[in-house]
Amino acid sequence: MTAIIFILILLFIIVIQAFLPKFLKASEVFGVYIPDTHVNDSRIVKMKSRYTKVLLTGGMAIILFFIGWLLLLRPSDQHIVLLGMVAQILAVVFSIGLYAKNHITLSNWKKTEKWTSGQIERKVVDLQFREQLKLLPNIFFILPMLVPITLGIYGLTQYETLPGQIPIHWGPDGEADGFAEKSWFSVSSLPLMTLVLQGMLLFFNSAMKQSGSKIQVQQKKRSREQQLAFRKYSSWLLFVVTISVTLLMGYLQLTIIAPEIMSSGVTLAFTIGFLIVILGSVLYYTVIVGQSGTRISITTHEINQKGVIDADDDKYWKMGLIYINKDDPSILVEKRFGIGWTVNMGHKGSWIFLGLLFGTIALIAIVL
Amino acid sequence: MFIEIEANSSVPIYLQLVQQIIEGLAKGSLKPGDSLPSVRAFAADLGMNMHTVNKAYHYLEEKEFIRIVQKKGVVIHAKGIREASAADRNRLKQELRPIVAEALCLQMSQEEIKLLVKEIITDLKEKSL
Repeated sequence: MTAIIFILILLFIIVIQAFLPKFLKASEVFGVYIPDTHVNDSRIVKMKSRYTKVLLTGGMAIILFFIGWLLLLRPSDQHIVLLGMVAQILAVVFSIGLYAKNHITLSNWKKTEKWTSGQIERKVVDLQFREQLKLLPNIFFILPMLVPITLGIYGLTQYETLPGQIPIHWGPDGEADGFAEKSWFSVSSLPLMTLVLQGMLLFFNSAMKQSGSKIQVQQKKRSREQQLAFRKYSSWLLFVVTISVTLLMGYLQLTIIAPEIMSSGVTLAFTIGFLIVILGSVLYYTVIVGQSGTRISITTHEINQKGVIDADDDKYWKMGLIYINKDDPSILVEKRFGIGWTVNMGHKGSWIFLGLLFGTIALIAIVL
Repeated sequence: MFIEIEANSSVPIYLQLVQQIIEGLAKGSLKPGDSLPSVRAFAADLGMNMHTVNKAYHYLEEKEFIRIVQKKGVVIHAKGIREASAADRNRLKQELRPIVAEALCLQMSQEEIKLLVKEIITDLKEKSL
């Protein structure tokens, strides 16, 4: 069971990474801004398809090694988890390496051949963008917080009746496999973690409201509609995650307080249901919506402006992955290479957010 | 309504914002009471400093083209479209002066300058955008 989950996750990582360029904007390739004049450059098209092929081949090799090792040595669950992690890290490092190579090559072409010179760079703003933006209101993310708060308080009122060992980790088969001494903290650790996660998702939803729109100068109407849709779907995805996390963690907390309702079958069903919902929504988000809504087709009549291109923001994107712009008040920005969002490291708020997040995780890890 | 900004232009960014908002008003794409983005949202959309937007908004507020209401946001002033007061007229005269001077240096006749103004007016009144 552990092995199958690992293989599925590996497959998921590799396939998503390999086909990623298909779900991204044509104007941002391997984290490099490509002006409209060069979007159809045959070298870029070739580079993308080569990336997919190489990554699939390398990724499959990693999976085959993993399966071969499983069949030959029949290792213990503990070893599977360890090597499974190693295989995942390997797959990620491999794809990042391949990405970095392409990113550097492409940046060099762009620089030496001066792709943007002689063209006017323009930034486009739609004055009514915020009015048309339909994100879920924050209350959708605040209300689910009542669940862990209630369960946390309820757990503490039942403190005397709880067993001496509190489960804090569950194996893929639904059986608890990690325990901590009973304390006020270990009893409430699960609700606390849920609250941290919910807080994070709430933060994302409100930061998305403030995030700057990226409207393309040659496709103003289309890119605006795609952006609006992308943001709406992002907000819904966050909501699906919030509800799934709340339900799963809520159920697990109930099994701590009232072990009699616990059966590993139900736990397994909850975990698998959770995985299916999350992976399903992410897949839908990736394939149907795409980064910045590029997969949503919208037909508009645009007036072509000769010699005008979008502003080149490459200088704010380190390796095309990390966004640092002190002037930009957005905390969250759309990723260049990848589906979803990343933080603006030039903004104080991002550092406060990351500090709080890692601080809480470290605190929970140390105290438990 | 879309606004397009050139970061590398010789016209300062705040002035580009001001000019395009006024143009929007002249064309009728913006109407008194319409709301504009908050300073923070506008700056985020531009990926530029909030000071730039602030400067543009204060400039427009001074000329009574917009109203900045604390907590409620920024709206086009009810007097955004109005009959020019003596002060408005004076200001426009001041602002036009260097342009007219430049036209005279380029040996343009009064008729030619009039024609130029007429062309601009027709262009603004065609609500093509």
